[in-house]
Amino acid sequence: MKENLKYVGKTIPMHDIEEKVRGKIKYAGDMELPGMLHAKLLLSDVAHGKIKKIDTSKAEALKGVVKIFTTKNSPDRLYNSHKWFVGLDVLKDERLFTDYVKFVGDRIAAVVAKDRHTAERAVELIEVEYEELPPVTDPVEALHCPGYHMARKEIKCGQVDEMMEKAVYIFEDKIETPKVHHAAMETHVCVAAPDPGGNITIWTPCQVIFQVRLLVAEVLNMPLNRIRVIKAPMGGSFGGKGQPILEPVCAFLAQATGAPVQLLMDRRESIIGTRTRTATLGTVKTAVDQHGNILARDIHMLVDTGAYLTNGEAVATAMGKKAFRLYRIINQRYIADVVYTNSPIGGACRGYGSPQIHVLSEINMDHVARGLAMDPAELRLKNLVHPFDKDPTGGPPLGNARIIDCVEQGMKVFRWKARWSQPKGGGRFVRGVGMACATHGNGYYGAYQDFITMSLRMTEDGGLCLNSGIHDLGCGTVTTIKQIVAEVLDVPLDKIMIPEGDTLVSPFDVAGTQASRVTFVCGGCAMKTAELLKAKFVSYAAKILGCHPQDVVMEEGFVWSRTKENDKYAYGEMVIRIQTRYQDDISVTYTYASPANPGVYAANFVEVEIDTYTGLVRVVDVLAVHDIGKAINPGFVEGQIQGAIQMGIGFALTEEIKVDAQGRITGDRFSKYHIINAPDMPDVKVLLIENGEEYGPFGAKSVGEISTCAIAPAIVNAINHALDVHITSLPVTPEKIIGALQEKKHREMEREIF
Amino acid sequence: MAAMVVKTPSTIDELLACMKDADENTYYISGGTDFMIKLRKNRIYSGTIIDLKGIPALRYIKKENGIIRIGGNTTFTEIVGNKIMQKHAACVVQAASQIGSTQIRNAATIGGNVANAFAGADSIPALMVLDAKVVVLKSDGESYEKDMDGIVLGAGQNSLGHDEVIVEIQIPVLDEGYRTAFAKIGSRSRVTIAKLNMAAVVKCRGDGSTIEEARIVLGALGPKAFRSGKAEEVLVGRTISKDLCMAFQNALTAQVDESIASRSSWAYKREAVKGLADEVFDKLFQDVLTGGRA
Repeated sequence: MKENLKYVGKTIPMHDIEEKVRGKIKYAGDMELPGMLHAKLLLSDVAHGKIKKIDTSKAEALKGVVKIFTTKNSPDRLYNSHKWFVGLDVLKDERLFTDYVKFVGDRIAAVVAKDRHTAERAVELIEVEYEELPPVTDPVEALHCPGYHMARKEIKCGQVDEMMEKAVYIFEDKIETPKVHHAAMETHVCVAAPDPGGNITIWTPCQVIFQVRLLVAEVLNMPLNRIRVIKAPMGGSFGGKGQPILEPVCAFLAQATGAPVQLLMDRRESIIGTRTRTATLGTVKTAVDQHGNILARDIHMLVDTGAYLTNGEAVATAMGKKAFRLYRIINQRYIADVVYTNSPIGGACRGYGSPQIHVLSEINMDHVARGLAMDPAELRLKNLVHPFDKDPTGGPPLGNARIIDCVEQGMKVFRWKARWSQPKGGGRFVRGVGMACATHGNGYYGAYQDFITMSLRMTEDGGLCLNSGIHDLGCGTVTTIKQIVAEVLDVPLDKIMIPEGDTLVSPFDVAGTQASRVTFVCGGCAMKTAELLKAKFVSYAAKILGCHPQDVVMEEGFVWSRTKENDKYAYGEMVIRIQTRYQDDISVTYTYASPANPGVYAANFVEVEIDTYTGLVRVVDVLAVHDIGKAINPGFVEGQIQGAIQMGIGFALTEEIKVDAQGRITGDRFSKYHIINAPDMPDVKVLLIENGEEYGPFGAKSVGEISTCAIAPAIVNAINHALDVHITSLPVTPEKIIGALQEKKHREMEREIF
Repeated sequence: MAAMVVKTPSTIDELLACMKDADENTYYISGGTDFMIKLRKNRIYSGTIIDLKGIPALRYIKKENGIIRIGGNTTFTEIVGNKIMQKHAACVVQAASQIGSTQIRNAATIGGNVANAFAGADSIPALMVLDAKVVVLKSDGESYEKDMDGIVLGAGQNSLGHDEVIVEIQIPVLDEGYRTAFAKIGSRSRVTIAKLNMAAVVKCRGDGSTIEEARIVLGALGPKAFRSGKAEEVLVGRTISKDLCMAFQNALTAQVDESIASRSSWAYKREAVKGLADEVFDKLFQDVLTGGRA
């Protein structure tokens, strides 16, 4: 690894931050194209039923309405919005519009009108007559309903049943996580415009331009190269804009009306009608010896994918894999059953199952510790994976896995021992601490193809242009990649241009901003491509300078030979000389396939204060310790962690898209769906363990998803520790806390009686 | 199709002129913070909006002849920062400071909050407990007074006709022996809608040890805020102590049992109300309990 880093490891502001804070940036919702029409969706207000009759005549009569689309005048080709590459074989169950609704929020129709206001009014005038069917909203019930049980996934190693039979100590838990909303500031939006030649251009804040292109091509039965997808500035995604939701609909509306169309959702539509974090109901049994060594673990996850399958199976598998990569467990079985319910659709959501599996494993680990009267941090230290351990199921090696360092250093900085054993006090407000660990990945290597092509060119004025299909989701991808390229070529950031993805002009990228792959895989590609460009430049420069390539020095935008210190050329000058003398361009196009998928790790330590009268919980202190390998931009890393903690506190305490037995949704607006706001945010301290990862650019690993995986169980563990209760259902609302305290009181009273 | 008309009178006379044409599709707004949501949710596409906020004459707080007069356009931010309010109507200030976010408090007004008559509104219990009167202006230029109970009829229901607007809230100034407090419980600490709220006024004997009078108003426990006789009874004639706080808590639990026993929120609220009681009791008597004034 390079010793003195000039650009990597520095906090540098995001490339477009000024446009953002000045309100100058144009999001897709700000776009105006000549002749642009506005579309509004009609979403189902019953959870399950057939549409007997749909009358659009009143809506059509409204002045300004251009056209209304339902199943009667739109393609009915089935698709699966999770399909992110051509060869992926997935069950297709979605359609542009439906006449058989499966949840409150299902797409029935779209109105296209001259202005948004008219489109909104027209939607209200569409009359729908349903033949209602009984909805299934309980995943346990769904498991036994014909047509609702969609898949079973199993991952295992060793001998679980034998070990369970022999074990003396077995701790079992049933743990529940809710559906949650991503709560990006920008609701879902898309603009599509047809041209007279039959091509369609789509502007969308998306995570995978080539996936959008693929889905639109499938649904509209068009060739891939007739569809151009341009990634629009992202007003927040967190996985919520990972799957193409509006894009196929909007592209169709544009094609059918022959005009540009903007399709925008309001908050309620974004909450109920897009994607949610997949809800889970898990059972976990952990067998340990009296010293706390894990002998075996048996996990069953019931995965509620909602009304359509999308990535239900992939999430079920992804979360299962994590269970084998945090602790050294040689006998383990993970089984997941994926079910439909008549409720909002599951999809990608920061962590892709990882937060759910860690809620399960980490609450259970504290249960084990309590049962053995052990310090839960000590229990973990006994069992955590070590650097360079293998995955017992044959998955990619864990790499430089530094979770033990995370826990040990975190315990010191947090003063864990002292705070853990502190008496909790018996007043109205009770404080307690808790901790949890988590692991996540770095891309798709080991599961799917994971590669990206980048084109890097040095311009005649010594600048750089890196062309690729990257997507900055507001996390600093562009600047991060710039820092990597800058470091390799010693070019200041303001001389580097890195546009985001555009399927017409960007080289192919297989997976977009998914799977925590961007810094590790795309950053790895940028580094490799820059190194190749450097090699090319140096070899020509050596010829021009009349020296050995080893003697060529590139520094601060100048190139010279060590043997002739006074004969310096600006990079641009050298580019021109190479062009004139050798008729070659200083550009490189390289396809980089990820060579590894190491684990990334985190330990979170928290302190909570609980109002035992009202059940309200305040998280008062958080320490997030991350095995990051190397932080390319520490400010971005901290930003990711601060935001992820905010998201995780909501997951732990307040956020839930609740669906009742009739399939009606509560928590479908921000007055009822509470995310954690500034007054309730604790001071989050970040501690980075930077020990380098062999295959990461400058040793870097991912942070975007892992950062939200340990916080929720750490909070639940702190609550359970502080109150001496055993809550295992998220979110831990005031109602659940009061319920648990009441139950505890009854138990104590009964104990006194007998 | 009829469009939406917005009228922004800047004087009372202009307002009266606007009010003369008012009908069932006329909407009066002041801060407009609740109306903006209603407009979208109820898909209101036509009618007349009369925006009172353009009338500076309805924005004041003054103390005259033993009465605090608050203009209907006065924002919650103004109430929170007002010395008269801080001195004589602490419970209203406490309620105002917990309404919505800073941005909401900068726009939302006391007249609007009362007229909106939301069951969980924070200002309503605080005004009710102080026996506030509401001054209503009619389109003929006449005005009349009504107590809070007469204005707020139920969840989202007020007694105002479509040619009537709230122009002033009057709070009788209490003498020195009175103490007031407000508390609320939501699902997070700030920017939250009350699951429960409560305002209290008590009068203590000269030495501060015994409660002579008590008024307790509970909000978010039914379609409208109401006085809790159960909670008041338990306080009157009693000496201020930790034990009294517990008795107060239990009385409020009994009140919740009586009010909403059939509701799904009952199990939680009957416990959580103890937290509300504790906070209000503490705000009222902290000095007594810690020996400061007694």
